[in-house]
Amino acid sequence: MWNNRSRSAFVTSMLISGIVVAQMLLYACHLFFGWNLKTNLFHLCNMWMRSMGIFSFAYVLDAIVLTTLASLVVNILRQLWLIRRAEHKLERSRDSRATALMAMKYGQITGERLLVISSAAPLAFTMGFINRRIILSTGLLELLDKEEERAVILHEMHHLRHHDPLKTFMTTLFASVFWYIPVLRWLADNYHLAREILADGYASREQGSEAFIGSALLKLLRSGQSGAQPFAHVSFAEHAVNYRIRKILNPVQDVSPELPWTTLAGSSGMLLLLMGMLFWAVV
Amino acid sequence: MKIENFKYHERGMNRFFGPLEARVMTILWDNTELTIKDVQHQLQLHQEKPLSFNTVMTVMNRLTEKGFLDKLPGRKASLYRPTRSREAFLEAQSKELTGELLDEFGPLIVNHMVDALDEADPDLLDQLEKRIQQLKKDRS
Repeated sequence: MWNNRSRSAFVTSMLISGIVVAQMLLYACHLFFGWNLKTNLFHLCNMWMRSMGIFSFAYVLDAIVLTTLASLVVNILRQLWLIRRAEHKLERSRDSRATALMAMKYGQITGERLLVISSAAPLAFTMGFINRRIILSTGLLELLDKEEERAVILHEMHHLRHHDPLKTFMTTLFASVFWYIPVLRWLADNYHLAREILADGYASREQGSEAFIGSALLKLLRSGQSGAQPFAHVSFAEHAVNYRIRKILNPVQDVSPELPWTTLAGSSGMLLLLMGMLFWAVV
Repeated sequence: MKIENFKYHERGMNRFFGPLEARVMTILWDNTELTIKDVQHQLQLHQEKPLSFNTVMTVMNRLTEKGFLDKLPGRKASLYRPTRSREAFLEAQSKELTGELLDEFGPLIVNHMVDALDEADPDLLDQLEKRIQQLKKDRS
């Protein structure tokens, strides 16, 4: 069920974002190169605004389209640059002995893709778009026992195999660039939660019990984490871990978060407005 | 008390301090409270080249200015003491470093086991603890 939920959240998010980006790109080409557009949403909006005599709105619309496209490009470039820099830094804090030891222990599961860095804070994450890697810290290895360690590696391996860093990046990127379509934020958060629950589930299935991923999670949460604040947004994702705990406590029960009607109403309101304009333009 | 120039390629205390600074800090962590002269004496024990009192004083005053040492009035000469224990210092540095490292990855590229903003409900955590104990008992 979470598989379906994850897939539909991702596909819906990509579909909405893809359509909006494509429409925006066409509209930008119309603005700069004078392309002739017939059924472009933004073009129709613009024409409607001009025919109503609200020219300032038409300029605002152009500004929104152009700044959104620019921020999309800037965000992608910035992220690629950050990855390069982070990989460089991680390589420098590599704990070669621990990395070699882990490669011997878990090489069959992880291959060459596990890096241990020396840091007292307990860290476990998967990163990278093409060159994907699992990063564990020496602090984490000290904190966990053997089975818990394996559970965390299985959990991260699930993220790695399914290209989760790239997909999470895409959904979160679109949610922040298209801040005026709130349903994208909801989809991104849902997708993120679904990926975590699926990764927990994978570790439990492989180990035949929820006990180990559960106690690893418990230890990490009780250890107070690293104090870093990597996520800029605050939303239900902040409490996502509670859904994960409920799922571990009761694997068969559905623990899905409620549908945020106001968000949906906001987004569909916008959609209705656009449809109305389209209708008006065609008639 | 932030380390401005963290040296990734160095080992141990040399990651945070210059070579002489690192040795002064180590001596003070091992002895708690010492005067400049005491530190100079201890440094000489492991050093062939003589170190002048002024050199040691400059280093120790710089460490005091940076907030790593406290200067206390002694009977004849001032006593110097580390502001934090070695363990507390290392823990703080490592937290800061990892925080910076994570900030630099950017917010979006990583899938964390537990997000830093995750706030777990304490009741749920207690329930989880009981459940794990029970699960582990059932297995053994």
